[in-house]
Amino acid sequence: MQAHHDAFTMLKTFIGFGADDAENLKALAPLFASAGGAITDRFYERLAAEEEPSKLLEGQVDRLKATHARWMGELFAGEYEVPYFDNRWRIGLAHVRVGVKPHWVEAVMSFLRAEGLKAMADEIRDIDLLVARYASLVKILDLDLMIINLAYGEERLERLASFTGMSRKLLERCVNQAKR
Amino acid sequence: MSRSEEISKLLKNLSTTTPDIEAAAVVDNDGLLIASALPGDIEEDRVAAMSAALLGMSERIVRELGRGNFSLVMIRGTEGFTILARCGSEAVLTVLATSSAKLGLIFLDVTRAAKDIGRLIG
Repeated sequence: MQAHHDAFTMLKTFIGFGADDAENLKALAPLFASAGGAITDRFYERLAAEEEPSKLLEGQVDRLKATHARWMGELFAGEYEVPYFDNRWRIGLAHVRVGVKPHWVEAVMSFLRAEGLKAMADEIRDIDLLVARYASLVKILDLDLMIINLAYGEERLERLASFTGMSRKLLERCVNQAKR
Repeated sequence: MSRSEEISKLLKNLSTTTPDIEAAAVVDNDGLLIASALPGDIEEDRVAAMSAALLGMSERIVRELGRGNFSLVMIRGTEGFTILARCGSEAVLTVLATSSAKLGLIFLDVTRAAKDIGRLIG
């Protein structure tokens, strides 16, 4: 797990995610505390209209919405260190466990980028402030996506290793040897 | 003589004493080549990874289907046989044999060589 924590730190540095971003995101917390519920509702309405995810939602919408709202709240909590990473990692594992395909995680990020900007533009009149805070939102969503997708990939490889009896190193070697 | 040299010697002896054995290699469980006496046109790294993968999967099948302890895997092609046997808990012996090979003798020699190599690897 240390290698993944290091990758997270490296990526934060690479995209320039720092204290200013943490402050920007904390400042957005009240806005998303009020607008987040409607965003969550709209996202789940869209999901329910899609055949594949709608099956996973059956009888669980309220619980999943609460989880989604908690996830969104944590985006704006201002803490983005190892516990944050570990929490997002668990989300990735949970997605594999229930059989959610990775593109639905990307869908929620895309949805929040678009809906988040609308909500922010309604409230923040200073264009420079809007741009700065939106940039921080985009960064944290990308970091979340990186962590969740990484956990997703790792868990799938772990399952393959467990099923086939092949070590992780061997699986990686097979991937590298399987040149097209 | 180093362990690597001893294993290479065992592989050479295997193909010398049993003419139907054309080539052999030893790889670790992660698919890394330990020693080989393979023809030059074979991509050793690919064969090493494939051997470890096939052995891992074969052991799972034996366990899943309640076939006792894993012994060896034999693959028959029109041009000959590929036989994989475990060398202790850490490595795999892959042997290529001709299509006319006397399998009883081959199995005996492969099993014996695998045990010897397993002892060397520890």
